[in-house]
Amino acid sequence: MPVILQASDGQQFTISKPVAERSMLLKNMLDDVGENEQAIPLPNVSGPILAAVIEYCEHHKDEAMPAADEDDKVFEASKKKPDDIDQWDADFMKQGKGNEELFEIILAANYLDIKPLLDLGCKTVANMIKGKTPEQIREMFNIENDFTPDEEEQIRRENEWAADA
Amino acid sequence: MPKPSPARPESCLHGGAAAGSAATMARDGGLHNHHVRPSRLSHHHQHPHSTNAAPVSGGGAPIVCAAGLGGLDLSPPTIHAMPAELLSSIFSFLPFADAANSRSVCLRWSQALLDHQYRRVVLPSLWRCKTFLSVIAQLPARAALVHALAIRQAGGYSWLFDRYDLQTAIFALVEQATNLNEFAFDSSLNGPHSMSYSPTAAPPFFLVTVARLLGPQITHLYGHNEGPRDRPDSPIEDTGGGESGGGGALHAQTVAPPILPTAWWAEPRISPEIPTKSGIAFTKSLPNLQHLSFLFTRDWLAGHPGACNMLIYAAPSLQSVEMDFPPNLAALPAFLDAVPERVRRVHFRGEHLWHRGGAVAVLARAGRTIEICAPAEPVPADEWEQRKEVYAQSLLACPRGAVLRVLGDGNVYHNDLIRVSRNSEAFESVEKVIIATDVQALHAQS
Repeated sequence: MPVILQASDGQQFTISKPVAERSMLLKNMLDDVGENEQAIPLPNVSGPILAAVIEYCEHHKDEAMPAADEDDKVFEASKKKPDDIDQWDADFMKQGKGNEELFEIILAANYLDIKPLLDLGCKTVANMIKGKTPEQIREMFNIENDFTPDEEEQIRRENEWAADA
Repeated sequence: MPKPSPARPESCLHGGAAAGSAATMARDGGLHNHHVRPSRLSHHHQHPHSTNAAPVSGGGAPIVCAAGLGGLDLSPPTIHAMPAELLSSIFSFLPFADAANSRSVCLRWSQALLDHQYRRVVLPSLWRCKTFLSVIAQLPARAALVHALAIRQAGGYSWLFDRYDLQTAIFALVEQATNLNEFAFDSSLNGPHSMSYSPTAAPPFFLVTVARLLGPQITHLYGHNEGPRDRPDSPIEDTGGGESGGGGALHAQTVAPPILPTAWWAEPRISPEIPTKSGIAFTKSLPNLQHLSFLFTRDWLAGHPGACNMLIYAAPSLQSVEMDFPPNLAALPAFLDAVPERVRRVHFRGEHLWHRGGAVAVLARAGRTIEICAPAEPVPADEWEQRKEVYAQSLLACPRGAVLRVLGDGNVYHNDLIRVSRNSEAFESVEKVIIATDVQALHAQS
């Protein structure tokens, strides 16, 4: 039985159940309501972002789901580094995706409870941040420096001890 | 310090508070709880659509969308508007220095706490532990008191941070480390894994933690003034007993490669009570200690009560002691008396010990080897004669049967010392040992 998803802009996507079940949110819902021909509204996810999420889920649909045991998940996740990104995943995150799309994917992955995609998004952003100065980070993400000079100096002093790491 | 951020992300997230229930639930539940079961959404399900995988636009849109969209904030997301949980998640993938650095980006980032709480901690993720970081976050003004502990595992380094009252908690986490093969409490390690810290509180943490972590593995404990480059396994160098430079340090290591836990601290200028008490606790936690060296620590440890205690409380396995001349001559007798009878080898670095302190005579025993160093630098002739005489007099009371090894570069002082020692007939044997303090001299000898 296919599953129909409806994005915030009204676009609808029909996907297979295994693909839908990459999302724990959808999986739980499907478990709750059983087979249903009605479209599942996803008001937080726009059509283009939902399409990208579905593309990711399609690609990974045959992979084992993350372990149910929280400890194991944490243990495994903690062993990973930000650059532990599969090539397909890396390409997926790059393809035509600006910062906006990247953040939307992270939000969507969080909303849909797709842990691997959430981690992938977070790692991608972490890699963008890594090695950059605060000023470069602000510029990259268009963040306003809202520190007063005194606050900035205090933060700098507080971070001094980590500067050599 | 904190002031209201001009762009509160929450306003973006929750600005549409009047949104339809599905939207509100989806945002709140989705963003703050990974396991929201959206059964409330199910009653909005509307029309079935084709099984076509392509997106379908237009007709038959669920009613909820129209209602929900009215309350949604459709402004493009920015990283600044990310919920704190997601920011934390992003930061959790950063190396520590970058995570720390990111605090300087903006007020919100500076306040972001990494709230990943791990019940099962491995070192690479340790710094993500909420307890860990929340304490650090409470100490911004005292960052100078935050100390760094480098743990090198097979896969690399991680950093721990501590102050006194975190010691137990930190240790509990460190204990969970696997494949621990190096441990360093560092103020001057060079390279990318170094960190600076205020040295005033380092030794207590180091002492207790190292002893609890590595105590049974440590067989050799070395002192030195200037960090690990003064490795005690370098060629012995006699500086003629001159004043030493910087502070004291201890360097402990095992002798079983490839597992080589090394641990050292460098801080002489702390309250004398601390190394004394800590020294006892530390030494008692080294059940397999074989070699204890106080060389290059004369500024603080040599002659200090802490040094005596370390000797007195040393494990039965202690076989070898290296000593330096204490700056306070009055402390010398206690220092010499503290050397356990079971020690089979005693090495003196400075010449003062043999000509002023009479240490050779005090420590010589049948079955024990005493090592002394001859001066490498010129000594005025009359002064040299005086030293030899003092030394010869001290040997009159020297117990018989020890082996004496006289280290030097083969100069006249070296030969004189050997002659005086042999003439005393106090030793089972007197050995001449050439050391590589002068490469040219060594070549000439060979």
